Amino acid sequence: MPERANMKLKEALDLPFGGQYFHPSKKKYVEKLPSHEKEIVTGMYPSLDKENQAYLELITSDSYKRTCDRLAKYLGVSLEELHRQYPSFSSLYSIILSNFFNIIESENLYKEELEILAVETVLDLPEFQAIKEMVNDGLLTIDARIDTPDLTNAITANELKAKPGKLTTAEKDTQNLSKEYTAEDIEVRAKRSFAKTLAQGNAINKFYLFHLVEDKLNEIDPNLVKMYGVLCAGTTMSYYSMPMVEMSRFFVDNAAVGSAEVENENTIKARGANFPILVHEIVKGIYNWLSYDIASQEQLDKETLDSEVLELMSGETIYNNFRKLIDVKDQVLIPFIIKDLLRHPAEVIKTVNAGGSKAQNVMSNLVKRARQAYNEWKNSSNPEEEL
Amino acid sequence: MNDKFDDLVNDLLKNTLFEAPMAPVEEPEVEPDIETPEVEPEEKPAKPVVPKRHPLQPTRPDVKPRPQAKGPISPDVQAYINARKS
Repeated sequence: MPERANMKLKEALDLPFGGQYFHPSKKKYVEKLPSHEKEIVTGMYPSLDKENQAYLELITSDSYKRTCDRLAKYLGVSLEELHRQYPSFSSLYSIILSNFFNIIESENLYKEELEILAVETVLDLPEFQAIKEMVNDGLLTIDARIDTPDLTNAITANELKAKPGKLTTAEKDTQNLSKEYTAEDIEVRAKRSFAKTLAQGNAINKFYLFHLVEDKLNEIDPNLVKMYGVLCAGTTMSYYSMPMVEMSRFFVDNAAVGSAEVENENTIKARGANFPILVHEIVKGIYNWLSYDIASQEQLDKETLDSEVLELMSGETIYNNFRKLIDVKDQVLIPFIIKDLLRHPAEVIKTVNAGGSKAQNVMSNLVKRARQAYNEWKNSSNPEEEL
Repeated sequence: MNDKFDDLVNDLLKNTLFEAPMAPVEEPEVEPDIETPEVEPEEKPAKPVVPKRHPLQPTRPDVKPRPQAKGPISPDVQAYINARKS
């Protein structure tokens, strides 16, 4: 690990083809985080020196590399050809956009079937077995639609800054109190950020679930699968390729193509412009539902759309590393493990993120506890069933 | 002489202080028996059924997170979709 840290000290982001599609402003952002982001990163990621940022650079580089590989795969070219044929992101942009619009055309008559298929595809995964049981038992509703995103209750950093004039007394008090974050605040923000990063990473990973239902999709349009692939890899690439700008409400309302919202403790609302984006949003919604109750309303109210940028750029590697610590046969326990892990101090999350034998020991204990919790629940409803 | 006197005093004390007849105790008036209707043994109220909480259910139903977004693909993508709808 120290060797790797030294290496990162020298080269910072380690990107294929010099990070041809990685916008310089995004590189700068990852390499020199603003203080409020850095505080969170320090709280949840192990340090590899360089003022605690080398680890972030390492996982962001890894997530970016994976996106390049996928884009090349779905465009049917090698990594070298990809970078040669498409020297900049703007040269890829028209392909991504035309795939997006062609998908809308192809899906148009099958929206309802695809909405049901999206929920089934997600819930049929072992990872979401317990969630599926809750849905079947009427304990949870997943309201999933191929439709315009609903971001009425979301907030950008810009809007949050502009809000003081409109604040209620309670909100003003909260804001005054939070000018200097307490240690508890920083702890909760770090844990929430980890949970959201994990959610984004998992949701990017689950973009590609469409391969599981290729037969059904081919009946709608045999070109869908390939178009989905280009769209998913291409939009993931856009997280790295678009310049780092402060979001505005206008931008959010016009550019967003999906939303995930926990409407209440029993309802998750997901909206997506098409099938893979809806799948992505369902996964994000479930993970957000699993983790939001560790924070207060004041802390949740300060979570902005802008903060998703970093979570998206680094999430997939965080999620993959997390999954590697869990045996395949224990995948059904993942939601219980996450729920339990978030109840522990952020230091434990740091240990898990660091990997190695310490992380494996922590995970073994979490798996044991998760199995017990799930078995207790199952035994109370069906004494014969046990994992 | 003195002994006899002592015995006398002792007898006196004994009789007046320790063996004095008690004042007659009034018998309490006994209420006539009133027939009381037989009361069915009261049924214990059933314990309220507390719905089981699934271990994954949120523990803070009083809070609500903000929605998360997917995007952007293009700054004008919604304009295109809306145009198609109309």
